[in-house]
Amino acid sequence: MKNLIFKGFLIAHLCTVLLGSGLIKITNKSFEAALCRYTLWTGGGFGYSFFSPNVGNQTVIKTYTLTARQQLKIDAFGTGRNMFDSRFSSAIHTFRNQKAYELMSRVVVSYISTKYPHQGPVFISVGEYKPESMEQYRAGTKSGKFYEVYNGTYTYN
Amino acid sequence: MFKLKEGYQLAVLRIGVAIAILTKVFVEFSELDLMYSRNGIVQDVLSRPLEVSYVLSLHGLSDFLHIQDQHVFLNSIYIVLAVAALLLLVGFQTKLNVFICLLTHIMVFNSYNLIAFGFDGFLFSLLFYCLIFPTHKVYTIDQLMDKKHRPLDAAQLSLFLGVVQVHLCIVYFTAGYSKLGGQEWMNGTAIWKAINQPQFYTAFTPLIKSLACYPVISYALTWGTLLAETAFPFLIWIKWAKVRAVILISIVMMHIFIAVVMGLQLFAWIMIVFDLSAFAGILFKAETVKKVKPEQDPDPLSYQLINTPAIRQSV
Repeated sequence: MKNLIFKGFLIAHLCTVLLGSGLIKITNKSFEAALCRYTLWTGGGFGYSFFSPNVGNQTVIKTYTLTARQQLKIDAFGTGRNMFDSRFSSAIHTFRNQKAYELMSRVVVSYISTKYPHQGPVFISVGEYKPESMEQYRAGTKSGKFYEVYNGTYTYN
Repeated sequence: MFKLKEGYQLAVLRIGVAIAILTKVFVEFSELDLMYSRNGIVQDVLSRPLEVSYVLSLHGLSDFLHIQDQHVFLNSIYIVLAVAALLLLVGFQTKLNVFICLLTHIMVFNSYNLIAFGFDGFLFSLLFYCLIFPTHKVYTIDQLMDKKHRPLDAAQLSLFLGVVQVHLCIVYFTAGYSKLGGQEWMNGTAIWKAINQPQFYTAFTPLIKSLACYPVISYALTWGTLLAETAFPFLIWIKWAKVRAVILISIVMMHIFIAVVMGLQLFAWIMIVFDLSAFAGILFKAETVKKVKPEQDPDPLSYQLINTPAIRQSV
């Protein structure tokens, strides 16, 4: 009997994995809420659609900061140079709209203010990196480009 | 020659997960304040509204314990996590330590899911399997200390492995199927696009770019990935052992490519652990256990070891 219950639980678990994967569309809100609750305790029910339907362009945030010593410092976020940057880049890629870019810019400014204490204004440029085509790379005629989607100048009070 | 014990896949799962956690602790420890504190990159105003109330969270725990110093709090949490992972690695008090690891992961995941990525989701799933499956029974100190020497039940073992296998098949099929409509995947440029993103730039990028800039190589890599992911759930079950081995090795190679060329080492590691804990049986055979008939042995829990493959064939 104990084994049967455990077997039933494992089958139900695999059903939530299948439903959470996104292969089957869930329209019932209360069922979706129950699935979410189960997922957050067991890890069974996440989506697995990596790089789909397309790879897309990564969003990168560039900052230009005038330090207290009047030096211009340039930083980039979302380039995956370490664990922090990789994690932050997943936050940048989650939402792609002007409001989110504005919010992320504020978050970045608060970080910059800790990195360069008493700094002056910070110019922020949010953009997508579009690589060159294979033909352009082979010919060496063009390299990848950064296309700005948002910018702003911020000061920390 | 060294013979693998029946159910060694559970040891692969346990050890692989423990190494993943230890690596995570090692690479994140110096940046904990930046990532997970209230004044970090995802501040309270952003992380609190995204947190769900019915699951444990870092904020909830620090509020409950009235801890003001976030630095001490986070460092303590991660030290506990590292010790638990180390004990999980050697298999001492396995269940308790996997529970500590899972609980910590749940708290971090709930508080900072905004900065979570694929690795965290898979680590979560595998930690849960480590908890509910008898991972303490294979290659552990717990097993050595267990005077009763209770072995794994062969039927239950195949059920546990079956769950991990079906889960993995769902993962790959979803990953492959969701790419089928994508223009970049269809026209063969997806891998070229991926290796060119600044986030995935590594020391190997120039070399791979110099190869993948030729359409035939780019197409082969792109469609090869698509084929491996979509076909995996079907080919891995067919009777022909060589085909099963080829598809398993292909998918492991794909993850090695992801680790080396795109720099996603943790994600690649956890996926290889997932692959091998599910299907390592295709590549590495273990000693099998056979239940002894009740009339031969009055103890229904006793099992007899049968060496494979020669003896197994003769049975």
